[in-house]
Amino acid sequence: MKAAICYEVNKPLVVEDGVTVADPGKREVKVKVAATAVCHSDLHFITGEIPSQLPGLAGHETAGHVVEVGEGVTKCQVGDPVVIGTVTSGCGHCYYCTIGKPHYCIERGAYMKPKHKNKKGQYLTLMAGPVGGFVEYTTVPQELVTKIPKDMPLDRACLIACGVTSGFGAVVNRAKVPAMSSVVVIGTGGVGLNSIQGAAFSGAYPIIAVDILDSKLETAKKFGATHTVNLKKEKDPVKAVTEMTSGRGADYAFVTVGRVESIRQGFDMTGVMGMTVIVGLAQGTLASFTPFDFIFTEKMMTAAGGGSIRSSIDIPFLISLYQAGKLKLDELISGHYPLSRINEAIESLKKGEALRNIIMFE
Amino acid sequence: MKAAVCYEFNKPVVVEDVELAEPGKGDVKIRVAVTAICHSDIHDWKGEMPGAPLFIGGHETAGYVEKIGANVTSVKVGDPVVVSLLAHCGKCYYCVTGLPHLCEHRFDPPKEPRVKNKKGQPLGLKGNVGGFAEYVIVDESQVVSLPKDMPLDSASLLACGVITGFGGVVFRAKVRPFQSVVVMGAGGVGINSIQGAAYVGAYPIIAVDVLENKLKMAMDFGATHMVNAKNAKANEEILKLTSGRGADYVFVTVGSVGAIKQGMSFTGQRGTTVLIGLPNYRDQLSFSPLEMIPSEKNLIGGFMGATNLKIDIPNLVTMYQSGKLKLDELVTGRFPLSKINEAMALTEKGEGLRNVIMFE
Repeated sequence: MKAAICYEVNKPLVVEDGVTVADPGKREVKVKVAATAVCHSDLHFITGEIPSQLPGLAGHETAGHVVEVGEGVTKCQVGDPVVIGTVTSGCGHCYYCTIGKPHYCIERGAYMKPKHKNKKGQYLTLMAGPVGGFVEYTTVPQELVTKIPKDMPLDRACLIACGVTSGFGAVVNRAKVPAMSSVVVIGTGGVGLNSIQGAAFSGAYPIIAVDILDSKLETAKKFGATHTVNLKKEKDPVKAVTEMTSGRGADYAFVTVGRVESIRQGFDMTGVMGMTVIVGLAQGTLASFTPFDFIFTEKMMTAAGGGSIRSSIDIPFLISLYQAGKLKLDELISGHYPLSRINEAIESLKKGEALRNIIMFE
Repeated sequence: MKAAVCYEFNKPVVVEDVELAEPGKGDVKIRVAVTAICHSDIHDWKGEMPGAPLFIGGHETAGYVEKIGANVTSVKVGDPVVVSLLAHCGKCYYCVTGLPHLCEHRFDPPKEPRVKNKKGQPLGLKGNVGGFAEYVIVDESQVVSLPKDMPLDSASLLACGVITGFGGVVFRAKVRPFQSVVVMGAGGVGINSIQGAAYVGAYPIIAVDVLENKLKMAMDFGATHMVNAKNAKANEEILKLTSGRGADYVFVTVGSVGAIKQGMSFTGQRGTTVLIGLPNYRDQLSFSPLEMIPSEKNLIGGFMGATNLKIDIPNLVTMYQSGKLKLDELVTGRFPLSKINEAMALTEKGEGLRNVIMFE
């Protein structure tokens, strides 16, 4: 089978035949990949911003069909269409599963064990999550798999594996934004747009989209943003947000851009008792904060991992929302590419113009 | 093995030899050391709960793991354990959202009957436990390991009475410091609501009962005031104790509609009445919407104290061991299985807190 392998950071991926994958073991399933979206987290690994052992196999927003199940698999059967995501549905019995936070299941660390080998027999490190999606077949624990309805298009479904849930879930599950509260979303890419539609879904107001491209801010309005701030045009973006929020600053800021400077900016845009939620993976150090920034305002800084989703509940829920016309997915797709042109898909995402590019396998 | 079988409602239960199956996949067999008698057992025996004889009662159990079925990982043979009726699958909506006490499968009976009498008739097991027997087989999810130095008679109470009362306040209602609490009924459940309220810093904590000796005991468990429900001015007293507003929370641990109505009248605006005690299942509650609308009162249920068994039981054991949770004081009588009818009669009278059946 074919896979797109990372042999060297910051170089084009090598699409290579002769790759093999382990047969599904206990509670594992083998999936024939239909679609894998390219996420910005994949770029972090491919460019070496987040170090990883090489050769490696990225791709973690995947949908496909189950072709083989190992012993003890209960969540799906051969032939089922499924989404494979990075967030586990949980073992159901550890501390975190028992308190309703299955995304912190203690078993999740074990899922990173590589299962693919290249034609030379070298193991391929799983990059940006335990999925291995830039390949024709992959084998994963059943806990990463969610069965989806047969009439759900797989190029849409794969987005729910990470980008949609990270953005939407940060607002709805992690911060639990109440109706009427003010929300800022920094970055209106594939994740930020979903924070915006999550905020709109929760009845937040105003919903302020912050980005550097007018074209993206226009898209943000279609996803539910009520106000926009272009960082390149606005002299004092913090002041602009403060004015839009009755002079108080926002109740919530979701920072979907992976830059520490953006986190600081988001924090400054929040008001007294405001909550800054770190969503985008940012390399670097958060400096220049003083305890005074927090004490007199009781501000909060926190983060959302994978949208804090309970995947066995929230993925089917998001699919129902899509099918009912209440969740935008079609509009998130900028382009479809065959595996042979994956490097074009990556370049287009790097430029920051694309929302999500999808690698199609069939 | 010996078990106490109910053949007919309201007739003495029969202590006789019965046959126990082998533990199946995911099952744990336990040698019972202690089973406490809960007021629900009395309801079962009197036909005040759904279900018909033949059955074995008892669902507040502690003992030792005797044998484990395939796939059991959380306990091993010899472990001291507490056994509860709170079975949970770990996979349904409620389990996944952190509410395993509401598991969709919590009441599913075992696929095959686990106990039969000598005539080969299958015997129902109350709470899927049936603890009035020398051995029980239960699902792994119903079992929690205990430290070796934990006395099992005190531990057995954690299975239901303690968590229902304590958890009703701490886990279900999540009472906050300085909120005012009324607890209706100072029996084996209510007394635990009182110690739960004291633990979370509620004030005042007003115990309401009809027996003066139980009210005095309630003060030992953390009540700050007591009101006799028979007192014609009970309502005025509650108002006086709650700055004229009525209580923020009223926990009704008595299984009577009269107590629920009285509890609602003790609740202030935006206050919450929590139904904890099980009345006869045929009893109907009636009230006017106007008792709730202008005052925005809440009426809610609390099942088994919204307890997350595998997390909360070890926490409660730690509290007991560090002297912050009273358990020993709750056991007011000990009986061998042969005297179970005597023990049940005492529980029905309602004078003691918990009577326990000791197997060894």
